[in-house]
Amino acid sequence: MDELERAARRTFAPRLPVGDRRDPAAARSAVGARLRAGVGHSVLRDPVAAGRQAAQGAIAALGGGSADFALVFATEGYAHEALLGAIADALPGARLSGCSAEGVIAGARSHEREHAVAVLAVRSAAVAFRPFLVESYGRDPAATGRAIAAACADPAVGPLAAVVVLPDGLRGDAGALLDALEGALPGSVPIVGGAAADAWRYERTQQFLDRRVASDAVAGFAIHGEVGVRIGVSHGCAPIGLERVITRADRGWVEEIDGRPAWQVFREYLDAEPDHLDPEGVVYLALASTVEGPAGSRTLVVRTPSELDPERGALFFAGGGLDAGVAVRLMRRDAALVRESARACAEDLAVAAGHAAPSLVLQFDCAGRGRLLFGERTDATILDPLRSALGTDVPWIGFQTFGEIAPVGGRARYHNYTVVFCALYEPPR
Amino acid sequence: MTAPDEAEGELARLRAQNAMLDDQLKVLVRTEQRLFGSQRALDRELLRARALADLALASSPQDTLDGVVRRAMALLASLFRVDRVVVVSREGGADDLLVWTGEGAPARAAALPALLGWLAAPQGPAVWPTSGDPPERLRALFSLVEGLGEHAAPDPSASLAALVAPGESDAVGVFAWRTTRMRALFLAESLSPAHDPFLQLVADYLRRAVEGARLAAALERRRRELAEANDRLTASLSSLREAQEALVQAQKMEAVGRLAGGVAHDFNNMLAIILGSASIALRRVGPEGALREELETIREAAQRSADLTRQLLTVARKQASAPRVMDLNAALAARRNLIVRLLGDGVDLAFDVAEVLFSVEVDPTQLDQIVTNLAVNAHDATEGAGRVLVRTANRRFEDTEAMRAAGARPGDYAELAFSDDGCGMDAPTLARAFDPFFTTKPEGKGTGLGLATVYGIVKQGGGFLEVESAPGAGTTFHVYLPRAGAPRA
Ligand SMILES: Nc1ncnc2c1ncn2[C@@H]1O[C@H](COP(=O)(O)OP(=O)(O)OP(=O)(O)O)[C@@H](O)[C@H]1O
Ligand SMILES: [Mg+2]
Repeated sequence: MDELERAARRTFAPRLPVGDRRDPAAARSAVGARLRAGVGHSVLRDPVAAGRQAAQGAIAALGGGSADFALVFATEGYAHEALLGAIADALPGARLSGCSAEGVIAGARSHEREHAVAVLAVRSAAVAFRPFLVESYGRDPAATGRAIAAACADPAVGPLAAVVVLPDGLRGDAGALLDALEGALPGSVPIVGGAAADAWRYERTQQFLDRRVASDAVAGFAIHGEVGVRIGVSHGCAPIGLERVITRADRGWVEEIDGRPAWQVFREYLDAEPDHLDPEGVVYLALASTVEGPAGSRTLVVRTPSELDPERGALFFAGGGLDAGVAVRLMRRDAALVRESARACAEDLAVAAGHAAPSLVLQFDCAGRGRLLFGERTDATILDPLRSALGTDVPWIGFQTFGEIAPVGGRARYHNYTVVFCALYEPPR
Repeated sequence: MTAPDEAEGELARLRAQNAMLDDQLKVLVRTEQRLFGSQRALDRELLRARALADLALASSPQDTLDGVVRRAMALLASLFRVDRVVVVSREGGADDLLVWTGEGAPARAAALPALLGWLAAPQGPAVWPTSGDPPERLRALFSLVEGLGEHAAPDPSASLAALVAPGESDAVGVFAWRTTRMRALFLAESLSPAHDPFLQLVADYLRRAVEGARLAAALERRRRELAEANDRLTASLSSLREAQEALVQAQKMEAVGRLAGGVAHDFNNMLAIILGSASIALRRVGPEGALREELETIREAAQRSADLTRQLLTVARKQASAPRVMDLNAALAARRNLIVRLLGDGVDLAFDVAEVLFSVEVDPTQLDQIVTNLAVNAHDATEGAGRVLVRTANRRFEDTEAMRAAGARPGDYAELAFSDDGCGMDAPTLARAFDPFFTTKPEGKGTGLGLATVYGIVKQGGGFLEVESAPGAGTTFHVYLPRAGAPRA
């Protein structure tokens, strides 16, 4: 495996259940017994009607009955309080978590053009989903991380299997958040998630807890109990040129690369040398920093700029960590690599799990990798191969994010232009 | 050259090479972006071209306007992933619009002045909200779309795109759609009229469809009107012809009848004198007297002449009749033997009578005359060997010119149909068959008063007659007698 391939395709299994080698059907029925999940969605415009339809769809897919917990991803353009209220009303007794999204993924389809809401409903005696919401994230990301860790420390509900975080994608230093959260959590608990998004307005994102809607917050949930967690990370970018070094940086702003204004370096590789950073440009070029993996391997964490300061020629990278002295590679997105590496990543996950069907899959996919890249063919190009690798019947929910969170090289990282899978498996009995 | 110098040189050479490679890389990377851009544009065009082709292929000359509009709406909705497509059409500068929204028939909606102004002077496709557009027009557009929908709550992320395709005269095809959350990026991708001839194509297609359908509807309306007028003309022409024939016949009969009646009256007087004188003379000469035989002959001839005169009076309808309500079936059954005798052994007689038959009002003697004359004619036509069928049936007649001319009224009738499979009549014969004294039979055999008598009796009773006949194909006389006691319309 060369460096590029490794960079593009990586799976990570912090709590490795022994690969379940029973036949898949048997595995699935065992799963059904301990952790039931169902996904529903709606593209109705009315928030109440949409919430009800998505929640009822999720419950129906779950096989009826009640739900303990629901995960909600919704595009902007809804009155989110009304939407959450309708979902809560349709799922009495269930706790709710979630966030706003550029687009939502429900089953085999992603919805980036319409109003859309996706709901995952779960019911389990063995696995507990405990939602949280911590506000004022932008002012003190480290404190936010510690508060989340505190919220996840509940030994009464069994061992902590994973933490899913859904931070505001327009505010806060995700790097600082993840460092503090990881530092305060017991070792080896994986942190995954995606940053809440809007429809490319860069105005406001929302984070959900039960019926509450907040901004500048981190929503999410802890997963407690005996459950296998497998994580796949894939970006699909290819390096351009040689390694470069950030020579000047200031709190997320990368000012100079190799002694030249960062924007100047970027611009030379952009067609028609634009003078502003439009979504196309945002997702065409990226910076990647190299991370040392466990077995001496090296992998790349991809980051895209979200803001341009034309005066200084500086680019802002949310998530921190791109400081002066850090070696980086200029990256270009590669549609074929995006597709192939995501599929290979899902296949690796399936192989590692002995082709056992997951109980559910969470997908956090960069907003720049969906419609923006594949247009009308997003579902056929991206989603279908993933689902055929991991199971077409598997409850599957996700959203198009403004940032992706997953461990690489043993540590939680904030990525851009990346897809993160988190598959939950029934542990062998 | 020292080693460090050499190393320096090598480094500089490598740097230069690097810079060159990097420049090449930049070109490649930029080219890739350009290629990607054009590939996506191509994809989009392909998708739309295919959609447009589908639309065109699906259309047929039988299309209704509704069908065309609905198909275009579905196409736009699926291509642009919007939650509402609205098509409006304005006819003849009217103040209201025909509006297609979701399912069902298009609705009429009053158009706000701001909207009408815009429809009158369209500037091609547009996407809202735009900064330049007057707010009242914007409100009018949104209310047009929102007001008809169930979701009235304003959505800050919503936008509206509308197209006006002006027609030749007053025909204006418009479609507008409300988009959900398309940000500038997606608007630029899918709804930018300047870059998107597709929108104009769909708009033009719709406008032509609206105009075409309107034209087709008008043509169809005109065609139907013409066809109806034509039918009416044909019908009135044929009833006019019937009436004309009936009138001629009636006048002929009237004239002959009057003449015959006048002659018969004088005849009767003189015959009464002859008969009376003959009787007196017979009494005077006694049973064995001379000239008795001659006197008998005179009296018999006078008697026959009196019978003939009576018959003439019947034709002229000056014969007193004593009609009675009777069951025609029963009356025919009672006369069966009479008919058999008149037809002769060589003719098969069959009856086919209605189970329930309207009763009729007719003088029994006159019914005898009808049956006798028809039977004798049938015997003559079949030359004593053939088949005769007597049928009865209930009939209801609406008003026709022929009936009116014959003095018959709309209503219920009992039909007596008398069919033979004899020689039949050619058209000239048929035309004169009812004329008094018209006969095709040899001198001394026929008087030509049989059918005239039947005609007179039937007409006197308020009924009428029809004949079907063709040479070699037999003859059927339909005698229609009015239902007894029925109120005559
Ligand atoms: N059933 C029939 N078939 C063919 N021709 C007929 C028939 N009935 C009448 N006609 C024609 O109509 C003519 C007129 O008939 P109509 O009964 O008035 O007089 P006729 O039979 O000739 O003489 P009459 O009845 O006075 O002895 C007939 O001479 C014959 O040509
Ligand atoms: Mg006769």
